[in-house]
Amino acid sequence: MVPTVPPAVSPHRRPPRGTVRAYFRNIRLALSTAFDGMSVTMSYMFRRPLTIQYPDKIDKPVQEMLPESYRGVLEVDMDRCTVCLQCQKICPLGCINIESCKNPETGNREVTKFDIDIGLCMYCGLCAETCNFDALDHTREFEATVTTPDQMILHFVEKPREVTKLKAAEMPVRKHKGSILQKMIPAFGRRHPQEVWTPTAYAAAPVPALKAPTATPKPAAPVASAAPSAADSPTPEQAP
Amino acid sequence: MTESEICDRLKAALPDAVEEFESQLLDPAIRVKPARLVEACRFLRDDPSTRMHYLRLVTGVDRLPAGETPGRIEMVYHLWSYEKRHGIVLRVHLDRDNPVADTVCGVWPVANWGEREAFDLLGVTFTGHPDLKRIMMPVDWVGHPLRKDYQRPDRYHGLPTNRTAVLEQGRVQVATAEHVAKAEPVSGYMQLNMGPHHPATHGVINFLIETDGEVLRRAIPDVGYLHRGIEKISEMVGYLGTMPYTDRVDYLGAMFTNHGWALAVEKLCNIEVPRRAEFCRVIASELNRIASHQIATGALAMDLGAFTPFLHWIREREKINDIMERICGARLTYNYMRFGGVSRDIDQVTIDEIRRWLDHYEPMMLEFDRLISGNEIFIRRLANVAVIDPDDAIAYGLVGPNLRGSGLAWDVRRDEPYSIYNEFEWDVITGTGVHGVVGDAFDRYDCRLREIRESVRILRQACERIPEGEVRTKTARIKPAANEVYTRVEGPRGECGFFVVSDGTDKPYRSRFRTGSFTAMTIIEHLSPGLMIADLVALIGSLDVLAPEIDR
Amino acid sequence: MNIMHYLADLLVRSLFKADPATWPYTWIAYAVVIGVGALLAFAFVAIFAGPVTWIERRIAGRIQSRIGPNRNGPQGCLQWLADGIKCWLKEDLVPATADKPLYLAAPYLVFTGMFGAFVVLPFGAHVIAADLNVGLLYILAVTSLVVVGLLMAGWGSNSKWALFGGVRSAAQLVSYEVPSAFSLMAVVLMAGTLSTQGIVGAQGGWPWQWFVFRNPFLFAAFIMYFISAIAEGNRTPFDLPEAESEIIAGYNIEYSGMRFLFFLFAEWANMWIMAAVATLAFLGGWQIPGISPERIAEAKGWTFVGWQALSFAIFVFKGTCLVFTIIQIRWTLPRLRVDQLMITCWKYLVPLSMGSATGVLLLMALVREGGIVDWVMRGAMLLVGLLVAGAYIRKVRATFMADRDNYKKMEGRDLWYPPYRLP
Repeated sequence: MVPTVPPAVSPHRRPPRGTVRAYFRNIRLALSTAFDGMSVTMSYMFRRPLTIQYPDKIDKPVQEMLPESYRGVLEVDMDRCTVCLQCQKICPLGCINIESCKNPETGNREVTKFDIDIGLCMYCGLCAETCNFDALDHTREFEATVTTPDQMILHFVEKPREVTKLKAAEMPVRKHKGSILQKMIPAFGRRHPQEVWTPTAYAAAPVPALKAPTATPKPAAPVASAAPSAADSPTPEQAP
Repeated sequence: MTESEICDRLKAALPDAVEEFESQLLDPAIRVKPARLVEACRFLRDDPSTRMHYLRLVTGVDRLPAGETPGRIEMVYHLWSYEKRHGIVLRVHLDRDNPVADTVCGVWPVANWGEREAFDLLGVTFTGHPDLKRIMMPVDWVGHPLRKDYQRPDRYHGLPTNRTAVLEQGRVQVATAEHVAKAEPVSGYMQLNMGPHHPATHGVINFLIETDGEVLRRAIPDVGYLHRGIEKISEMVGYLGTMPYTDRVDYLGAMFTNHGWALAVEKLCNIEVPRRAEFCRVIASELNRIASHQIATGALAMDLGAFTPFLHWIREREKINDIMERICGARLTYNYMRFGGVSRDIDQVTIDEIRRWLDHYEPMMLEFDRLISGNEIFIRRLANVAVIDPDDAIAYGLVGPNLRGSGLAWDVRRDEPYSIYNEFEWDVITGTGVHGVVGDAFDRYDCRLREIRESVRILRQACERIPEGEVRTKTARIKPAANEVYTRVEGPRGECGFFVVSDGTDKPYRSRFRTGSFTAMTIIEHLSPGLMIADLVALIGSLDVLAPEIDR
Repeated sequence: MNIMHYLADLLVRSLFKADPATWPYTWIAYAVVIGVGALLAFAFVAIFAGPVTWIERRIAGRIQSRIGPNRNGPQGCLQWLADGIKCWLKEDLVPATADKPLYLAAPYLVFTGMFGAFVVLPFGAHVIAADLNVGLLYILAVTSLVVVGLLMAGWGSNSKWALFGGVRSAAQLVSYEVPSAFSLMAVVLMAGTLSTQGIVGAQGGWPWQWFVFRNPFLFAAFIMYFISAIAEGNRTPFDLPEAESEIIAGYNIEYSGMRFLFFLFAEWANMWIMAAVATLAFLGGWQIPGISPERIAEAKGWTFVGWQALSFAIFVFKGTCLVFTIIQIRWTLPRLRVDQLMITCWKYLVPLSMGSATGVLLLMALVREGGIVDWVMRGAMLLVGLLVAGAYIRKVRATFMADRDNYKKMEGRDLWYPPYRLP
């Protein structure tokens, strides 16, 4: 056998000889250890509690207390996105859904859809890691409460837009992390509290599919308009 | 002994049992005839030159018919000898249409659940098995999900099985009485379902207990409530895509499942890890081990009625979570390891923070001892309760602190070294029977507490000696050649093994996660007779079982 | 003559100008006064038991490095009211298979048992509902009614977990009655009476006049009474009947709404009873230091009222300190196992409490009260008490100091956060 340690008895707890001694030793130990434990708990009456009182009684928003590396809700800076589809390919869950097409008038590639289903996303960070252009990244936003499941799909492209042809170095500076998402966040849950969710609204909403490029000549209308909520929502950050 | 020597030894003893020695694999395997399997197993266990008392893993691989070769199901048995420090893989080929094998439960009791899982997920029938029924899937499930040609049914009792359908339906139907299998009365004793939502079962586990007043006649664990089929998922999402799923296997020790998976793929693809990345891995892992052991010891105290120690440990764990958030961006599901390194570097600010936290934490450990470990009531509740002797511990496949609690000095970090653990100065902790006999519940608890101290030692050295350099080697596309590998790391719940079968594509052909909780559960039924209900709670707590790790 | 008797007579005399001894309707006046008294006691129970739930949660919060409920009302002080109203409004569920009469009656029986004890608690020099000459015996007897209620709840629920809880609590309460009665017997021997006022009257205002510091046997009896009182009140470390991690909630698992509230109500009311009995029997009750009971009785007008109020305050203060200790014990210690619970009772507390009663008897026979030996004993016991308190404070301070500097380095903030600072 592998080295087996013989039963050792620690010096301060030597088993007592005789039952009478054991009897009184038990009483002494029970009282003294309880006394010891109570002195520990008593000291906590004078020590600072750990709790912070989220969400109202705090000095600054929790988002600002989180480290930069925090993996919160994903956001895309469409000015830097080249629609290379790396993120869509690497996502283990298929929660990123990108569609692009060629505009027949200008001949440029246009991205018609960049949806991220944050209800499906597991915040693993593989997509952000694989993005070579710093377009897709995690923010420190985490309060993504919504009232209906279709709101969990973030539409980063509201209407078709040209895909950038610039090299990484020439691209506009990455917008401040979280600024794009913060504009969309009012849509999280607080937009139409009275709205009743119907299963058909979800069925009409896009289901993440792996086939991305479609060659439709007419730029598709934002699919999310099927959901009545999306029509009058504040539009996400548009191209300058 | 090397694998080929073991094979020769087996051949000499049972000449007609061995079919082939597969030495081309990373873990060389002996293929034996299905009819002689039990004999071969018993020989390897009892022979003085092999003495493989520990069945590390029992699992199956489904091979579809390819061209001329007919389809088959391979049962794989990973054996290990603690005494001789060698191991071997046994393998039997079964007919795919009617896979029948003899059970090895009589040789190693731990095979019980492994074979049940193979029966459930692969459809292999084991003759002579004492309790052959489904373990993960519901009893009336049709089909065997890990078969390669398995088609998932869209509905189960009217409940949709995919996400879109759930959303379409809008609400999930509540299971009616006819969905619930009626338990037959077994005896005249009081029967109780302890779980699946019982405060002391550490997640959704059910114990069917039979009691005579307060004293248990037996407790039968019933698992599978958290089965998410992560092994099946891994066959679909590829090697890197599985990494975030390994977080979910063991959410208290995600760093270790990450590490094990990374090691498996690195071994398959021969990827080197930079030195700084190894340090990052060790620092993150040891922090995670402390956090996990804190939950284990704190939850045990909570199960015994002391709520405060648990929250004190939660407070310290919050600090670890904060540090982890800095290191890898998440508090629980780290997804930190990558093939050939780690995802992010640990900067100097974080290392200083870890140091400052360690300074604060060391007195806290003494305080915790005063608060609960030294408490006479607590000691009396755990000492001499549910004693596991070393032979039982090995036979039932206990690993990690549960095994060391029984007095066996075995730590994967030291004895089958991986990463850079052998560069640090630390001790393997074993149970010493401080307040009772070796192997009682208090020893397992004590082992975890003292292991926290060792982790602190390792952390201090690692923070001191971390070198400069890269944290990730550039890797080509992960596409290992057809092979099989089994790697293990020492997780907080013991040996955390990853059995991966690759087939030359970018997705694993089959993977099996060997977790400490899964095997620890098998011993509960064996230990339970004669315990009290309160002792069962202490036993579950001291084994530190974790539902997602059991069910995967 | 107690205050209620006096008030009833006063009522008859002043309102009806009749002699209460001969007036035929005196009993109506008595009934009215008793009714009002019961209502006041009930109000005390409600007002005490309610906020104590909140106080306990706040204390538990601090002990566990948390904050505790602080949202309803200033610092959450109306939390108990919100909880009570919530429970009141909830549906009163009765399991289909329950034994209905037993199930429905159990909470009230439990509550009655607790509430009955309030009759003989002397809150002040004359603030007592009825000064029975068998006061302590009455408390022991009437609180035993709780056992019946708990058993009824456990059996009537027709749930296995509830049955476990009920049977556990019956076994526990019946066992622990014995040591608590024996410990109180030591006091009864000293005081020579079972009347609660008589026991308080036999002590004095100063600590060395309290029974707890009178001699070592009474000191031991106090500790033993305190332990068995905790056990009778189903508090940790003896909370087996409601052990959350073993039998989920125990006898009250099937209850909801108001009936559930009554169980909780009884639990916290019982905590106060335990503390009050310990106070009156060992800690001098309402006795004001330096003021003899005779002076209070002879006082007239506002002085009388003032002294009553002061004695009431002293009694409640002592009781609250003990309640705090009980709460702190609950949040410190783990729970015993069933067999250990019985061992603690029958092997340790019962023989030792019998021994302490015998010891008190011997000392009473051997040592003259007020003699030198008596005073030396009192001084020594007081010294022991002070030493224990000193050691406690030192330990608390050492625990605090062990973390102070490291915490400052780690968090950049002071660790010091006194109890009166409420976040």
